[in-house]
Amino acid sequence: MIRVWVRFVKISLLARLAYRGDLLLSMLSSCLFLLVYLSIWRALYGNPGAEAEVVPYSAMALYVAGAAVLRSWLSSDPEFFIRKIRSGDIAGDLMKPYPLPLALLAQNVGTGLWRVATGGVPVLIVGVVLMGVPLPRGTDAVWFLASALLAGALYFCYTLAISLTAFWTLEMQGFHDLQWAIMAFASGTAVPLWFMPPALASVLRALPFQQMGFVPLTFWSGQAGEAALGLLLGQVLWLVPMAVLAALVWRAAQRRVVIQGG
Amino acid sequence: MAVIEARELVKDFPVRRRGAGMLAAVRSLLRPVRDWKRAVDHVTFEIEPGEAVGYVGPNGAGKSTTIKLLTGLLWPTEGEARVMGICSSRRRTSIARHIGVVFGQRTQLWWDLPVADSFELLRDIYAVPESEYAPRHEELVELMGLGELLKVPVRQLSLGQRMRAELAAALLHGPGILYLDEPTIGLDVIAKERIRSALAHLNREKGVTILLASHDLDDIDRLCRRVLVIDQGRLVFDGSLDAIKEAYGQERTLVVDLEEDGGERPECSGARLVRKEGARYWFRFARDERTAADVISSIASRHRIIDLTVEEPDIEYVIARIYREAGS
Repeated sequence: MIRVWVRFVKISLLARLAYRGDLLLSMLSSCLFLLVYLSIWRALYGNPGAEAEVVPYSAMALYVAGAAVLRSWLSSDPEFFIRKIRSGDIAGDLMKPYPLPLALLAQNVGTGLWRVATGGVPVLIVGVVLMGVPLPRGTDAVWFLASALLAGALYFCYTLAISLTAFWTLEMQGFHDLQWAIMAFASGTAVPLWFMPPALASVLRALPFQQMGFVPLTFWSGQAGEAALGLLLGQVLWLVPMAVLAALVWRAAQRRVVIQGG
Repeated sequence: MAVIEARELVKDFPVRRRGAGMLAAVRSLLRPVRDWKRAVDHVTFEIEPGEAVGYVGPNGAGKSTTIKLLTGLLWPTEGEARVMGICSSRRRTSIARHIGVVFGQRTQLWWDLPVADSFELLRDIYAVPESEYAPRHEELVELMGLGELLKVPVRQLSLGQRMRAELAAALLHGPGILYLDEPTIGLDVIAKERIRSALAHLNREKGVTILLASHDLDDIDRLCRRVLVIDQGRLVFDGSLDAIKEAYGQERTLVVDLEEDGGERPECSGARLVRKEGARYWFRFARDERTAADVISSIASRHRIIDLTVEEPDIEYVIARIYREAGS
């Protein structure tokens, strides 16, 4: 059975390859993003009023570049699923002798790997070579890898639960935009929780979103320290309810299948 | 034993009701009103192994919905669908191995990739052993004439080529049952014929049970001995194609070209004039009341006939009559 999941990873990689054209453009935009973020933080750090920094600028530069890598890994395409529901092609997937969420997971891993290889890593190299971004310490990188995998699993469960609601609404562009905004803000990928007002930071720490951004990036920027194991455990603990939620929504969705058209 | 059973199948869909105009649009946004539309209404039938059954009905009659119920893709509101004795909605993944499905307007191939990639994925999905897969693959490629097309990305295939690839894809795991929903829709005559002859081969030589939903009656005529007719969700006919023609196709049509003779309206006892175009007239008469020879000689006694043909009832006309009667 492993064979079919490997095949799914492979075939979604191949499908991405069909769009080599937009590769350069998306890499360019990621590089620009990195440059913009770096400039903003450099300006903020240069501001004499902001002296009591929680983290040094070098860690912040690490954080920003790590965020670019993490973003490429987590930018799965919930739209893909919604398009399938709307066009009715989901019918074909539902008639296969496998649980659809697993096939989606395998496909997400495929596209994620592709995006890291063609987006995240090249942008990181550009950052290191041209913009003076530091590289993380070896051990930090290993922690980050584990944490990013967990973040990927969390993110998958979360987006699956959200996109499955399309079976009820059949329309979810607005919802999708909203969740994107929540994700960008609450995950701490754009602004780390260190810089948030304490009250807001404690609220965000209690939510699952920072587990998919701030936590892995804490590892990457070498700020985990003693708390490392606890942070990883926190991710695992969040994964359980998220997976249960996704499974429940999936079960309910199956009973409610309405294929559009035809 | 029947391989496909539909027992008192009912499927209701919610429909959002909305009046026209801005105000009604806003109102429906705030307080959507839902109606229930019955797409399938107590449909019951059984299909034996090796049968090829046509499923006929106008757009929106409930053909696709029935097929989705049979595949387990939809949950019935009432009743039950069984495939190989297994309840299809409750055990969807276990019947998946026994059925192949082709929806004419959908695709299960990977749009950006060569056909061969999709085939390999399907082989792994159904875990078809290589000893089984290789000969079947070869046979299907041959039957559907895919050869060179295997290397072409799906989006570059013509509709007819894609449909052949879809058919092969649906059969790679060797299902005994094939559901087809409008497989020839939008195809040209030659492409249609190719699909039909492939399907005929599968049914007659391989014993694949086929349920073919189509409103192209030529598809049905070519492939199916038995026909189910559905209208507004209700099954209105279940029987052989010949029986339909027999029961509803009693009327034949005589088409005559007459020599113009001063505008006198031609008449003929026992047959009624249904259409006129220039000097060409269409007379309809009941097969069991009058013979064609009677009608012809009756007309010939008053007019000079230049040319004539007798038309047997064609199946479109017959089906249209069934709908009309079911509606009234």
